[in-house]
Amino acid sequence: MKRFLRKYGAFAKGSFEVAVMYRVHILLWVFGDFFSLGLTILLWVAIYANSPTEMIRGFTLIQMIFYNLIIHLTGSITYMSPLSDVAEDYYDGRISMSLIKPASYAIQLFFRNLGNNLFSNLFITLPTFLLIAAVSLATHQTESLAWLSFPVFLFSSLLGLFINYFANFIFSNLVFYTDATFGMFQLNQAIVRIFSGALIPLNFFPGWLRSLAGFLPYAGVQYIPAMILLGRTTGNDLLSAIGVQVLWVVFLGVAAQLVWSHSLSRMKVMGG
Amino acid sequence: MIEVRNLTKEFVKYEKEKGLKGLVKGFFNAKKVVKKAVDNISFTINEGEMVGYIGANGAGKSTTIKMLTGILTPTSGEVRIDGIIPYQNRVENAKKIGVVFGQRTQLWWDLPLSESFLILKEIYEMPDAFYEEQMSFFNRILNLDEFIKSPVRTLSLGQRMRADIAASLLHNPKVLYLDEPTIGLDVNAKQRMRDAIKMMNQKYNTTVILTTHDLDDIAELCNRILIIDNGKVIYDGSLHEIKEKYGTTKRIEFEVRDELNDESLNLASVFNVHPDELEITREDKKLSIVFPKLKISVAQMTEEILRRFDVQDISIFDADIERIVARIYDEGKVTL
Amino acid sequence: MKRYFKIYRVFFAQYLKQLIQYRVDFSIGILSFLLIQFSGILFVGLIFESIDSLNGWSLDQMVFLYGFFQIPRGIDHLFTDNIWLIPSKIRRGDIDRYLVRPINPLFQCVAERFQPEAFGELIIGSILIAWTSMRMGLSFGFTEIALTVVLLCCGSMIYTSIKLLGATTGFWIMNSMPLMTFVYGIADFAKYPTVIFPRFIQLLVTVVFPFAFVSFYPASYLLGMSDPWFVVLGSVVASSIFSVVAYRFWKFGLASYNSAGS
Repeated sequence: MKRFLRKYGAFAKGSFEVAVMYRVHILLWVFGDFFSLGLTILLWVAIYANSPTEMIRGFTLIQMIFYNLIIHLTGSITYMSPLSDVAEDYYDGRISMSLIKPASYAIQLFFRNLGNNLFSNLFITLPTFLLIAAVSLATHQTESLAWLSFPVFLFSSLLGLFINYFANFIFSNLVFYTDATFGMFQLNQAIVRIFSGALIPLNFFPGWLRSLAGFLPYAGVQYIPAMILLGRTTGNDLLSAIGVQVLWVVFLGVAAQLVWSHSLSRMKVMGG
Repeated sequence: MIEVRNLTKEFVKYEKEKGLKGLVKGFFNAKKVVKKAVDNISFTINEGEMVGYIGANGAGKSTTIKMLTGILTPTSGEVRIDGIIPYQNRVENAKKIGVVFGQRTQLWWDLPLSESFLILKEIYEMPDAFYEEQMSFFNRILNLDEFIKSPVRTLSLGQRMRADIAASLLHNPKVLYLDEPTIGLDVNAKQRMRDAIKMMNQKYNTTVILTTHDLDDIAELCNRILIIDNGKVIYDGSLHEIKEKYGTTKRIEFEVRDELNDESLNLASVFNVHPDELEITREDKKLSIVFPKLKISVAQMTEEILRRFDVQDISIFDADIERIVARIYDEGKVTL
Repeated sequence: MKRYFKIYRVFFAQYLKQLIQYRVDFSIGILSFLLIQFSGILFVGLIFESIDSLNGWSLDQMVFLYGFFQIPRGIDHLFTDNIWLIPSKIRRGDIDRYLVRPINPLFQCVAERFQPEAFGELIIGSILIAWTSMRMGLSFGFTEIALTVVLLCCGSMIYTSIKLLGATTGFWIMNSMPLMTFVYGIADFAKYPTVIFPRFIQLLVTVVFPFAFVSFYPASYLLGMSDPWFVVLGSVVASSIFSVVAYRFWKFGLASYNSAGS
């Protein structure tokens, strides 16, 4: 076990190191990330300024701002992007090389992404968290956030991480079948953005769209943890939300295995 | 044709310490280090010469070639190709050169090969008749017709290299730069490449500069070699000369009838030389001996082996270039 | 000069041929763009269920603006998408290939790639503009259409220049992607009426990165909300300045590559 960790830990460390290496890169990335968050918030400020009522779909402006901040937080905590790795490896033709040891490729992939995730957590999650804390203190809105459910929030986010990883991983297999790389990445991003609650809180959706979102795992990546931290999911609802997440993790984990082995056997037949 | 005078190229690098701690430290300040990749080199190459440019990795080969092709600007010194200064007059220079970067293709990945050639025709402003003539020439010697309709990314390495050579010579450049052109090719493909290059040189008097680690390429194509080490040219002369002066060994391969057993031949004591000066390899019925030719003559060695074994066949070789070059690298300089 | 046209024509013909061959990749690209457009309109649509206007802009006008936003972006995406790959080409040394040929390196890089999936943006944008124009009962005269064409060209030039500025940093910075993504993120402000944002943002997208001139001002001109002289002059000036600056910067980057390698 220790050897396993040491061996694959190196991959996590490796991608973490690569990410740390370029100072300008980090600064720009973080800056750009917060900038787009800023755009969204400014947009909501303008929207609420035009609203006849203080509440829109159950959110006041401050609550909506918190929602976006928390979505930003969960987005960073659950950040796993095997799709871009697989797409890049495939495009470069490196896949066939990596597949000499397919099991280890899958694990390597996970740890590589974990490294990137840790990096994102260091530079984005922490500042966002501090920002949320600061804003809530400054606006005396500490009741808007259910700080007591913070541990549950973290657990839910962890589940979200796995859901995100498995879902993206499964999607990335489509690269093998369609030969499309960058297009796949964009398609996945677009879908995830809508259905994870990143675009707009899911309760804004009309009925049919809300149902569709329910069938997809992405709500479990960001929307569910966000609602927990906002204190809008409590008691029995909380338990069933977590339950849903757990089910998704298990289901997707198994599906990922199946899809992966199918892709592998197909690749062996067709050539890398 | 090619004149290089006091050419120097310095690079500035930032040094960082190793490990995670070093990375974080390096985040705040990093040390500047100046490296002389090419250090005051001078040489002249005449039209029609085929020159091998060899050196260890990092010795300054690619940097020199990049300066000759106009990709890099020298820190100091002068380069003239057919009277043109490449880094000042990039376009003029580019019209007269052809380049093959062994590992990376010059062609367009997604396009069929024939289209690549059409584009090149326009880029180099080739008249139709000339283009047709060149295309049929290359089709003939490189057999391009087999795969001319396929996209470049579907070609095998051998096919792609053939295409790259044709692409680089299509417009009949004055100078051809080859960087590892035969890497990864099988024996037949290598030979065909070399033949194509030789033919172009003979037909058009194309000047050829070849950087490679494959010393067979050098042996077959070049009559002159430049050896660069640590940014300096340590040898500039004919292959023959270097063999003469540095090739102090000879190799004889004997094919014997009986299976060789493991008994020691004891040749060192027979010829009164140090055992280190002899290199003896045995495999099945082949016996190969490398020996210092100044101390033991070919006749002497042959006589000795003939006496001991039932010899079926003998082959005599000059010193391998690899050996010579390895020695030169070791010594760091050439004394003639 | 004629040479450049001939060369581009060969590339173009090839891409069209490929389009027919690689339908799956193309359709996926289109699909993802459609989805992205859909999410944008979805957002606006859902918002307008709770509000009536955004600083004087109705839903129809918002969607009109959104459609208008797609077109210059689509043009830029269609022709100059390869600029995104410049930083990675620099790192791999693929730039050398351009430098040993006797034609403009930037042209070679841009001509190599034609991105037909950008037609998705153009088609969606056109449909949205047409549909909302109909709904609002708008009609446009010859002058307006001619000026719009000019504005759209200037607009895509602004996009291309800014993209090139970002990509050129690849000569010095290891990974230019975050920078380029960031700058493109600023462009997103122009999806919405600039007037709804605070002063400093308005300045940012009008003067610093003139994305407002790419879509917002032209759209608001067509909707009768802005002065035509201001819009046309502003676009032309902005696109000219940025094109020149971007190209100069690119040359500077190349010169620096010449001296420092990669």
